[in-house]
Amino acid sequence: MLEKFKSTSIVTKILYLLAIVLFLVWVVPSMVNYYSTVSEYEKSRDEIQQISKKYSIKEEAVPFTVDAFKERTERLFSKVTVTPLDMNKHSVSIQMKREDIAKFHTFIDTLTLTYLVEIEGDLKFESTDSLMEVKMVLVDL
Amino acid sequence: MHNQQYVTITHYKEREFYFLNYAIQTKDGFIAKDIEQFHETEKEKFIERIRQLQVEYPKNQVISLSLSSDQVVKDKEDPNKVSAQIFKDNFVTQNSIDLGNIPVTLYFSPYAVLYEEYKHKLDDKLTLMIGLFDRKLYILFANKEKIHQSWTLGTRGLTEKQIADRVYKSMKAYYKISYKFADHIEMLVSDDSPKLLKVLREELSMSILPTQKTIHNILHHMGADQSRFSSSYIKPYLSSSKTDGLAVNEENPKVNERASLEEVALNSLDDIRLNSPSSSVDTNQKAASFFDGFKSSNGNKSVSLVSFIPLLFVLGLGGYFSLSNAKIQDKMNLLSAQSYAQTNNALLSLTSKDIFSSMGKSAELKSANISNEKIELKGVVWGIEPLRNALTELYSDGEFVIKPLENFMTEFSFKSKI
Repeated sequence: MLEKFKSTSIVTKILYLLAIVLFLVWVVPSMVNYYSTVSEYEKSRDEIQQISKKYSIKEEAVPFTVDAFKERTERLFSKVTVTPLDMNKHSVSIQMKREDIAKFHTFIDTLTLTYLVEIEGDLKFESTDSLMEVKMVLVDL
Repeated sequence: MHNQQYVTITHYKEREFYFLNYAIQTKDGFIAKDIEQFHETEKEKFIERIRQLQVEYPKNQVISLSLSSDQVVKDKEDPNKVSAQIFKDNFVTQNSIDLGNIPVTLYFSPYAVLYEEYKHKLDDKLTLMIGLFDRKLYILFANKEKIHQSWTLGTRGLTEKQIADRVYKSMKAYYKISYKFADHIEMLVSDDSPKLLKVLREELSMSILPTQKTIHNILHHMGADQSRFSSSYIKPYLSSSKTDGLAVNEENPKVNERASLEEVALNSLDDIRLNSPSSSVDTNQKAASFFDGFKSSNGNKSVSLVSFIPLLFVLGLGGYFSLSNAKIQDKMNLLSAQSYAQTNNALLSLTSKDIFSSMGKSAELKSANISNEKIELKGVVWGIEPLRNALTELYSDGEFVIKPLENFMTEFSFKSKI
């Protein structure tokens, strides 16, 4: 075997050497990195699934769309307004009865488990006699 | 008298001239006549002269030498090429014969001539046989059993020193595949070239036994005895297909796998070999590119591809994992962002819940800015101390301010960092 290898041309030897070097410096680290990331990903996904399970959410979070968001949120609160902003941001205004504040807190708890968005900055509350309005800015993940 | 004499008529073309000769064969050898020379523009006259000799001497053989550069010695007969058997297990092949209407009954390869010249000297040791014909070096490595390797090297425009370098390079190339150097060298030259012999002796540091014979004499010798030429002349038809055309297409890639493997080790000779398949297009092409070397022949191609397999496998594997890594990393980034956002939202919700709980029946919130960094609250309070206690319990560093209103109510504001 060694004799056969010795008899191969210098180009062939260089190709074999290049293959070995690439395997060691590129393929092996890529493989290790890949399997490490997969393990980390599965762990994080399990954690998110556990939280979703707590709120009885079975589906994975989906990208934010105005129509779907409005349709679903309007079932919970009196009035929902969504205004698109720049940079994948959306200004959201939710009007609700004062007694629905607990429902609103659950909505915040489950928002990112349902849509791939995060709340940027403050929750701005304004209340009148019996109604409360909350404004927030959502950013697509 | 002429009717009884066996005559060998020999001819070959060198540069733009045809050279013609004939010899009367006798029991004691042949008696050659004067060499006649015809310019290529006198081809018809040249052919007419051959026919005239054939008529004059009915018992004749018209003999010529193939100076084609695509001749290769192989272990098996190639069904797609014209060939001649020169050893028990060796065949010299070339793509086709194109004689251009010139009469020929026996057509020899220089390899066959070399073998015939030196076969009685071959023994168990390795002999390098070199034939110099028409400025081409026909090189054979052989012992009495078989021919181990053959190459055709061009010498056109080269100095004697460069020619010697090429011979030496072919010896090194052969050493790479067999770990053997030739034990001795035999050389048959058709031209008088004492300087070349001198340089070869100096460069190769070996004793070379030169034999100088004209091509005509060599061919007269080849044609003298039927036992000598019965198998060693190139048959003007394809060995298996018997097709009427002599032109041959592609080389059968499966012929002589061992020879193909040997080709790998001889890449270094590809640029100077004339009988490598790649050189059939342009025999003088010396500056072959790196990849041209891999494409030089079917045999080379298959073996070169084998050489590429580990690299291709590694590139494929690396590419797959890099791509997969990029994909899983994208998914991981999204999941991390989702986890981070979920934590922030949960904290925001918790803060909001705490604040609304702290209002209780003591106050009513009119406006609030709640984030995970700070809170700002404003409302109406009617139980100041319970509200203050509830808020300072949550945010001890907060600033609680009350302000009496005109309608006998009290407004509060509260600011705190979280």
